[in-house]
Amino acid sequence: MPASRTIIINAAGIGSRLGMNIPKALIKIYGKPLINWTLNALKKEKNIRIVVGYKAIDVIKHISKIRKDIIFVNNKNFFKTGTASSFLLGCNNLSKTDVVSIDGDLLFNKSQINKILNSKNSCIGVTKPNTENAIYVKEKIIKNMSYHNGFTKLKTNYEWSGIFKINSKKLNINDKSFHVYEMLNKIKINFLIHKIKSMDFDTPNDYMELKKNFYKIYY
Amino acid sequence: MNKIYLFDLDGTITNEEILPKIAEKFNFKKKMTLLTRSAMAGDVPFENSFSLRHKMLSKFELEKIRNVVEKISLNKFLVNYINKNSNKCKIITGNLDEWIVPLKKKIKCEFFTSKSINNGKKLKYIMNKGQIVKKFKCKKKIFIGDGYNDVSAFRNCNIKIAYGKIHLPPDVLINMSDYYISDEKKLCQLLEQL
Repeated sequence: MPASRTIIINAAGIGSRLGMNIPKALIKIYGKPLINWTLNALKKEKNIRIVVGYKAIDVIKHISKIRKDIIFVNNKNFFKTGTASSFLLGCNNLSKTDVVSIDGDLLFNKSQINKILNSKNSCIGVTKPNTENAIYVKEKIIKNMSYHNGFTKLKTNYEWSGIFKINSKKLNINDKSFHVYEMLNKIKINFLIHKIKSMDFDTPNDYMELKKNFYKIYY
Repeated sequence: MNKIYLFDLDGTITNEEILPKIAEKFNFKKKMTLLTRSAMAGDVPFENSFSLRHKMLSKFELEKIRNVVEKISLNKFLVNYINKNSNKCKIITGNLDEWIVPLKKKIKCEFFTSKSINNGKKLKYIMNKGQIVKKFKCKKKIFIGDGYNDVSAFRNCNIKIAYGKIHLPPDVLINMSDYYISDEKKLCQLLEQL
């Protein structure tokens, strides 16, 4: 049962490093806008909030054709804020509920995502390093289980996918971090590590790679 | 009171715009639809458009107008929500007091409307939603609307919800909004969370 959890999709950003005049969620991969693949994998989820900002109306118009029962949250400061404030805005007024954060520019494996959705613990999703400007995850092992031990720009075995699950009561809604990983670094809990095939795209090269590897990642 | 929910009426609580439906009865639906849509989109100032539309409708018997309004399709889920929370909910509409009397019997909350004298024949006040919203003394004023004439209401409330069940609201309303929703159940879920 997808109980009372809420999925927050962060799709407010400009995607300036990619340099295309369109929100990344609307960029076509394998014949369909990326957000179509995301929502297809989340079909059974009952509570989805999508944070919009850059070209919000285009994003809303497109997604409304696919699914009606979505709450869009408008980040009016999208041009000067980062993913952390979009995510926290999306969590606004959600009290004591599990939230799963997914970036709007992420392609992820449609079955492996369930490991994170159904995880009983706070967790983060990691993938094999595959992008140009990656943030990596340091690992610690506790009782044979793999846990997150901080984020770093120095290469490790795991690239952070951007996905995480947490109970909203553990969040500091007033946190002013720019990036989500900076915000998570301040939260003193153990995040379980789940491996998931995924890839985001910040640069033209990432985009080319993503298009090439779509099938392998998604299915 | 801590929070109040302020709802637009036409296209938000009703499943169709009311004035074109009335005009249909008197065989000028097309013209009325055009005028209503252009007011909703902000192509014509609401006051001018409403005066004109009032002029066109005021020559007909009030009884006949009310008979049409009586049959207007309502979003049952939202009406139910309002009736259960009637002390917190208010309807703020540009529509005319005398015309929408049948709806007041079904939607049990306070209404703020355009006002008339002489059984609806003469206009006395055309609704300015911003002025009304400003007057409420309340910590959280939440406005739910879908048309250009809701812009002034958005300006004067804390939480703005653009609602797109029947049609997509004008761009400016979406840009001003904190939330955009097109499903009534999700709307009520959000209202509970706010």
